[in-house]
Amino acid sequence: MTNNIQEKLDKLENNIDSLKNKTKKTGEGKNNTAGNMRYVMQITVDLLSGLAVGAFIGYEIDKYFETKPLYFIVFMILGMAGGFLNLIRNLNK
Amino acid sequence: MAADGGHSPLDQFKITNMHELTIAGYDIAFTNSALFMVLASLFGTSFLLLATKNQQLVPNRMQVSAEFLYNFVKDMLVENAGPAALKFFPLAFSLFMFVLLANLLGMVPYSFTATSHIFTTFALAAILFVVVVIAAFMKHGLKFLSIFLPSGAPAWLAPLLIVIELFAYLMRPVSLSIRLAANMTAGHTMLKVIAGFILPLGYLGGWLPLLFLVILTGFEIFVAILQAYIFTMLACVYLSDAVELHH
Repeated sequence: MTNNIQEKLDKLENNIDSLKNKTKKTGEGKNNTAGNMRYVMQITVDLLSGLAVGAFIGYEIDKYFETKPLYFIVFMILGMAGGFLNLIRNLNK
Repeated sequence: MAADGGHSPLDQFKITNMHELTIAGYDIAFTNSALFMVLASLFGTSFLLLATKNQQLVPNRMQVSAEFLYNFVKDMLVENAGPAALKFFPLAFSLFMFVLLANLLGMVPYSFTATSHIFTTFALAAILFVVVVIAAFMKHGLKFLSIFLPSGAPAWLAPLLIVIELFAYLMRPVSLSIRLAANMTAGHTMLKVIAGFILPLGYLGGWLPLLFLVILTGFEIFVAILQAYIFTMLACVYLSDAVELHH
């Protein structure tokens, strides 16, 4: 009688283990897709806003000092560098 | 169809004046965007006032939902910025309620999504940015500027690094506002585009986009809540700068 119960319990444990592994696998796959979408949004926003801030500040300085394309280009590159810096920090988090 | 005066998917973002008003040469007309911002504030305020009017030890449904929102934002703030940041709780909670209600009001048919415009979201992010900078300067004084110099960098690289760090800091409110506005604009445009497929496909094929539309509407409501959550969470992360210095 006890043997029988033990056998049943073992069987149940195996069942639970295999089901757990299954859900783990599918869960991981799902998380990867959602996680990748998050990264896509993060990369787009970070790179774009870095460029936008640099370009805006450069454009205003150019308008003030009448040095037309100089600071626009310099600050756009610096803003891009800032965007990459933020991106690397956010992705490493 | 859009070319001959039909409905474009972007028509929903058009700002129209409801009331002309010009003061000292500035056009400060009351627009549909302003109407929905006022509605969002009114909804939030009246909901919270009603929910906390008769406080009981065993709360009713309204009180439970208000307490849930309160604890949600409070936990988020403590987790991201520490218990010392609780003095900024009113700001974080107001931001959360306003963004959440503006997003959700945008899901009502024939309404306007105030948070789909970068000017609205950037104003919110700019308030946050100014508060963080002022509070950080009040707390740390000029030592606050040390976050712009990464420790362990060679001295000859410092001028370049300081400028790049400054840009990385300045773009935080921009990325915060672009993220919210882009998500709301993209979602609402997609809904309208898919809705535009229904009638041309007729009785036979129109059911498929209709089904998609129902699913996507539910998804958009989820995105509206999620984006309010993300906006507030990033606001809490930025507020942590006002409490302690990071390098």
